[in-house]
Amino acid sequence: MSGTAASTARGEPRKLRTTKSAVRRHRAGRMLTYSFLAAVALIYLFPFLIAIATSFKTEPNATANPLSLAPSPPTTSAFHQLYQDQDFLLWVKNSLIVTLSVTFLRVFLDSLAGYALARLRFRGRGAAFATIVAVMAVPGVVLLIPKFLMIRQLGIYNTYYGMIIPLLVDAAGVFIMKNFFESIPTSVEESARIDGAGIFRIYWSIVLPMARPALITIFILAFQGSWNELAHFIISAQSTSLNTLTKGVAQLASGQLGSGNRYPLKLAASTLMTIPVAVLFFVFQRRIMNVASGAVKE
Amino acid sequence: MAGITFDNVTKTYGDGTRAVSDLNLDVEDGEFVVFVGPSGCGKTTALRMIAGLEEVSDGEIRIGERVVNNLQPRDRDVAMVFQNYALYPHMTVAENIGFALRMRKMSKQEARPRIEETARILGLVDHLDRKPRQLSGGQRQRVAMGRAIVREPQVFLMDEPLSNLDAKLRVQMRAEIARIQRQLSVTTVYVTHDQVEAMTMGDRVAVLRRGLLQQFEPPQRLYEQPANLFVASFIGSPAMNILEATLERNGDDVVCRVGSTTLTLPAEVLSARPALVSYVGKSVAVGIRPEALHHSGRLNGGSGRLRGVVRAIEALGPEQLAHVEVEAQPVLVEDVVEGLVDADQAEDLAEIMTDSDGAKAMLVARLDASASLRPEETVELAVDLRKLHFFDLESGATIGA
Repeated sequence: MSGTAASTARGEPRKLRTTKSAVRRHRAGRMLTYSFLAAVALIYLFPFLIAIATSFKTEPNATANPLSLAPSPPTTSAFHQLYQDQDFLLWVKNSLIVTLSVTFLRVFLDSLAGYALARLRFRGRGAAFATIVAVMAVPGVVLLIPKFLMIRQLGIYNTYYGMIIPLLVDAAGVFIMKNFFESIPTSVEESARIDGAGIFRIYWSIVLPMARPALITIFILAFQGSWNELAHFIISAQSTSLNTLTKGVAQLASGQLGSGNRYPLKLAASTLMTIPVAVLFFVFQRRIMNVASGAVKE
Repeated sequence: MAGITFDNVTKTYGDGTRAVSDLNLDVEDGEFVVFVGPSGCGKTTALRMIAGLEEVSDGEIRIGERVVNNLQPRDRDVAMVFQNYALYPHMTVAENIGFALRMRKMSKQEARPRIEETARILGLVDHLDRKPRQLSGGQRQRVAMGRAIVREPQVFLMDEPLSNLDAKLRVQMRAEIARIQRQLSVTTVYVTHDQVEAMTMGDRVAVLRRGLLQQFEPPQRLYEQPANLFVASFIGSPAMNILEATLERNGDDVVCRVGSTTLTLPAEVLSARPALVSYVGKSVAVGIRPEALHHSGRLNGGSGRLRGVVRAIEALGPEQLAHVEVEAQPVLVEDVVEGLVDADQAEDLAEIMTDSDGAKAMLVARLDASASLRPEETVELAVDLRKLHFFDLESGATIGA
């Protein structure tokens, strides 16, 4: 303590002399850093901005000035067109069915598995967890064909079941939940045990509410993951009546919808598709907070 | 209402560590018993075995007449207060207190008056709708108490419930817990490492060390008649001064030689401890409580004198603690060192341990504030010989009858 005090006292006069130029140099450096970061951010944002801008363009305008961010004249005709297109509404419906089922069930199942791995003592727990971690290391693409074969074997090809069930649990989610549950003080659960709660009651009434930040994380990841999923839907269903937004828009983009480049239409579909996920992030980013505060004295 | 019985209870963990060894102990119905000891002594494990949070490896625990070894925690009718309170953070105070009632399928109409009554006892009525994070440490502690009280259990278990409070609040809550316990007269087992808490709260105190019960008696008796060196140095603050001494016969008298000083033991000391005579010619550990030392001249008859140099003085207002270095061999066996929880004395001891010849011991004397002492001054301390304690150096056991 006394050492630091002494050294600041000694360094003070020099500091006073250099203060002004140091501040100026510091400010210039900071501006440089920020402009660089802003430029990089802009490059990342640009494709998305183009998508939004183009969705409001007329087709000739989009073809002539594909990179322009100002539609002239601006029009919403691409959106009208999509709205009247029965296929698009079907895709939305399919996406909602699959995404909502996957999201809610995944939150539930991931947390159940995570809780078991974190708290219940059973033979093979370590091995089970190691396997789950190992699964995370396997690239999804590797499993596409085996999954396709299994889905067919199980007779759920071309059904919602085939699209939903394989997505219900994910290793990363179980991993996140397990780690979070382990951070909850055991005394809270022991207290509930003494108060008369059984294992499921403790999980449901005590631990789950305390795990809200992790649950929200899983919820967002599951929603975003299944909403944006494409590869799995390609291998699990063929029928166009089971097309999801991702599959439909991908087909649009690969030019199966008549003549011309039809950029406005395709990008209007893409733009609409991003809205639910964007809203989700917006809603939840404020909600992710530490609900465990006040449980125990740290 | 029920008592608790430990019958040869042993707890061995998977890795072979014995947390509790062969514990035999009876807590009477309605009694307030404190388990105290340094960390790792097995006190918390013993408590958790009563709760059913740890399995009993061997032996039997009974609550009332019922053997509870294989009962689930919820079937034991015990309530527990945790060191970190373990509140349910997403529930209000009322929901926290009422959770156990809800688990018993009690209706809301039935539960509400009980929750309110509990809140009234604890002064939480205005906070029933708050969440734990909106409460102060002391209030959270009360909620934890409330969760236990509302159940009207047979047994309260408390695991260092006050150790997270600041000193002032701790003293206040200490009195309050004792009051509530008396009011409800529920059998209570209270775990703490703080011997002051143990002394002030317990009807009886069980001192544990390394999983072994050292002594189980009312606080005053622990203080006045410690069973061994460990209890002697652990109970009391400042701790008992413990020196090496030799017993010798001098004519008709038995004398106790401490360093260069000879203390003649009064006949009443010998008659109270007949076994002492058999130690004549041997070394023993002699224990002197800080209050058994007086500024010279204060005490006549039945006293001896120790000469030393004042190294430090702590003024406490009505009294002062003098750290006096005397020519004597301190007893530094593990029993003593482990029992010293007082940082000051541990420091003193460490200082002495590094001393090369090791023939100097630091005594702490609790003296009247009027005694005028100056640091580095040589003083004579009068020793109240009737209050000396004697211990076998080998076994550490007290030398008595």
